[in-house]
Amino acid sequence: MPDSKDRLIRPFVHAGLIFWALVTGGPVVWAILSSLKTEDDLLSRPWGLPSKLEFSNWVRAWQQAHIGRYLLNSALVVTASVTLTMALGAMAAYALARYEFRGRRIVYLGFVSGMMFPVFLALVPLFAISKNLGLIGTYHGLALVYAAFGLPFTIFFLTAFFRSLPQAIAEAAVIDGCSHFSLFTRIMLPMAKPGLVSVGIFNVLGQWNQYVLPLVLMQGDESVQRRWVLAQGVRNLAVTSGYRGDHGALLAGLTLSMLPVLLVYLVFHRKLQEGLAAGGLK
Amino acid sequence: VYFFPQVLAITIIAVLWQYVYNPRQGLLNGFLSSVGLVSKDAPPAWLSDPRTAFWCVLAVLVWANVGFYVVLFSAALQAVPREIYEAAMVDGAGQNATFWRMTVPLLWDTLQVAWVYLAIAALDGFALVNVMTGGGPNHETEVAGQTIYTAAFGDFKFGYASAMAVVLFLITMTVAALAFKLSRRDRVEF
Repeated sequence: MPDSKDRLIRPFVHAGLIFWALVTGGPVVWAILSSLKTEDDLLSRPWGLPSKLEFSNWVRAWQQAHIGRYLLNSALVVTASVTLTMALGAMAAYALARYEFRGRRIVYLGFVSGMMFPVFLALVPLFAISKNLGLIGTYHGLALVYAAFGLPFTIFFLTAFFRSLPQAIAEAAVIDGCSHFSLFTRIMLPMAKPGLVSVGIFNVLGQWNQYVLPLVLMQGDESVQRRWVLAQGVRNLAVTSGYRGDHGALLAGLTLSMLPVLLVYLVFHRKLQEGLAAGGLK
Repeated sequence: VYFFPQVLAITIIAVLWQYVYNPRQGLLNGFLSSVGLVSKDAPPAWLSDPRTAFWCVLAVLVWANVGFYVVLFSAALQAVPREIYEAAMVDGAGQNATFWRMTVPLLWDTLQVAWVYLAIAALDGFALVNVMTGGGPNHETEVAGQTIYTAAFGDFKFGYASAMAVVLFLITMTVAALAFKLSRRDRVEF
């Protein structure tokens, strides 16, 4: 009988799911708790609860490791680059999806082939170009590169999305005397909102997570280091606190850099998952 | 919960796990010594031991990525009409049979996408390796991206690094094409 066998398997499946949930959540919760421990506690009882709450770790992470500044830098760059990606991407995708013109296919393929293009292939030329343009170590230089890497997928996704919108509404608007531009901004963009949200989330996460690009493009002296993004800041914190043996500050810095994302995730997790899954399925 | 690592920056994941693997203060050794599996005096140094470093980094890569595929597959599953499963139950199919003979074929398109993604992702892994081990100990965890990065921005051999990047690109494309080809199957309509 298949039924009895199913009943035998079921507890194992559940145990497996719970186990994986613990493995996923465990280290994160542990890091947050440990960030409140004294250095003694960290050394002697890595597995236990804090014996008393120690907030000075957080202060050190904020003041000496400048986690706050790096968070702000990351937010600034990602805001700029995602805005740029979405604005350019939506306009390009709309034109490619809704207008017939010579060379449309070539332009589309040109954009989309960018998806195949790995970061590592571009690394050296990108560094040279940025250097020659004086963009190394600047916010706008980094944001421009992020936007360039974000565009191919954005255009690919949004072109498909604009194509799937009903033609009739656009025609009705044109008959009512709607111009091309207000057709785009007042009719098509609102209709494409679900698609825009999905691809927007995709871009924010992708660009927030960038590591190799800032590593290469934001190298330089003190003045550039002030503009480091979070990824570099956290890495640097790991290195310096390793030397100093200041693990409390490391964990506090980690917690501080996780918190904003954690909050956003708790509020929007359904939307995030839908957005990413839709992006993956296209 | 599964999905959460996906929204954490990969650097944060890397530093977090570096600390989990920390021989004296890490969560892993803390746990293992509290159940008596490792001694407190000679704790294993997971990331600097050439025998374990590679597998430790690999485990983190899995940890960070499982969530995305859980969400991807469950989104695809929701698109499958319930009636099909009910019909299978009425016909007396067990859970095993339902999974292998229905769920897998129905999700094949998604599985194929995931497979190609993974094939590409497997050739990357740079950020994690760079932060956690820097490719060490003794190149044990070095990935192609790390080699390219070191060649370009450590040794300033820009031409050599570019050549390696082109080779990596060709390999990635080949692997992706193979993954796509080998997983090709007839589409199940529903």
